Amino acid sequence: MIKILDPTAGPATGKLILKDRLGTLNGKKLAVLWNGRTHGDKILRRMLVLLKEKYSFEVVDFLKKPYVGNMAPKEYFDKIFNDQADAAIVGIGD
Amino acid sequence: MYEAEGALEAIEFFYEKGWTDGLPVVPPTENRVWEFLDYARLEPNEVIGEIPERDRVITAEKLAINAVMAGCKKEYMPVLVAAVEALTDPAFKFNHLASFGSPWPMMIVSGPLVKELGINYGIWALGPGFRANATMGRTLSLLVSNCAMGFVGGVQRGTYGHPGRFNSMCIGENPEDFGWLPHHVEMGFDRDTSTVTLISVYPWIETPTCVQMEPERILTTLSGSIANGDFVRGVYPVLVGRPWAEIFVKAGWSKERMKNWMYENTKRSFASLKERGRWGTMTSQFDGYGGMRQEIKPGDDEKFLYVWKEGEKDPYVFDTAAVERQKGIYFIAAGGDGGTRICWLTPYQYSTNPVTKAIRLPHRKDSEE
Repeated sequence: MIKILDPTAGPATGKLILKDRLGTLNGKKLAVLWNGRTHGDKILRRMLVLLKEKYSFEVVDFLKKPYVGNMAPKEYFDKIFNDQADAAIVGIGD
Repeated sequence: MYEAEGALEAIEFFYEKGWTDGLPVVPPTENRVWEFLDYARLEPNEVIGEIPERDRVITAEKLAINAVMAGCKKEYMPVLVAAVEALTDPAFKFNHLASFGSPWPMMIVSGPLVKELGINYGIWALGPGFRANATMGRTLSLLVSNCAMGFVGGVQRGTYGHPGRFNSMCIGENPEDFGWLPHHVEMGFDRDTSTVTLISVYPWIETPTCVQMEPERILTTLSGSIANGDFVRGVYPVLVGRPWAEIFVKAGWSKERMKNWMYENTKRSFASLKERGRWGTMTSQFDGYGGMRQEIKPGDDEKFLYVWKEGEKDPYVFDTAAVERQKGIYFIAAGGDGGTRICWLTPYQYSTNPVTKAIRLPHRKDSEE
């Protein structure tokens, strides 16, 4: 028998845990985070229009990342939390 | 930790787990991994780099495990440590590796370690058959896959994948002294230091230059080839074999002069760019896919856009999201003595910058003390 080691790495902080899915969008507060890629705003706005045809919800934030290649700034996450969003839609473009 | 009956069973186990790149790996036994860590004087939990986008850290142990799997020698560890430092440097913008575009970082080692470790810089550069090149390049690929979700089903979104990711996107720069300014010295490091540069690129293009023997004529061919490419902006690595590099050295051309010549002369007319669909804005269903379909106007034959030099501010297809990005050329002495060709690589067009890190050799310091 030989002993072999695991080459993989899991989350370092363990904070990236998916929240439970919302049972419905009705009456919820949504945040939208656009990653800045071209046309991403159009895709996201169109998605909101389609969703509003079915559900009644409030969009509390529509944020654009300052630069597509970097993580969104911490202030963005703080704002989404402070605005008490129940969920966030994160989208790309092209 | 896992147990296997023997090496073959361990290899199959790694396949089952999805921990390989499709080729067999060397089973990372505890002893072998410890040898690598001991050589590099690293503690297993020492953090070499962080990838906040993935909430991952790359520890010395994970690096050593993947290096063993790739087939490395323990002597490669200091190079790999520097490579991970470059990979996780914020300037490199790690996130771009998941792109639809399939870029992958070329690893360029420059300095005395190139010869010491047997890193190929000559004939068949970029090809298989050289352990240091193949296994160090492969380590990065395994590491990104195993420690940063860089696999299909994880976050890898490349439309076609990058063949260089298998192994051979690692090259050395010719360390022979023939008057060429080594890359690491150009980047501001001492001659005695060795460095690793990571630069995110698409697969390479060879440009035949066999009928050109003068600096300007060689660069004319190179410039034409690059301008006829995708015309993206960024830092282009250009690999020049020693015979061709010597032509520039003997003619008294510095790298700076070579670069400036390229910056001034690598251009295409608006008309040419429009004809080739390199002009306009990124297109999508929202504009009827018409953003790039620009009509050629009178005078477009006489107006030019340059690959590197700032020019007209007209809409340009690959400039929409491209900010915070370096532009330039890295001329690297690498390639066979046969000459006849220069190799260049298109940089990833959006969010990345090349990063160069010094290779530290802690084991040598210890032995000297």
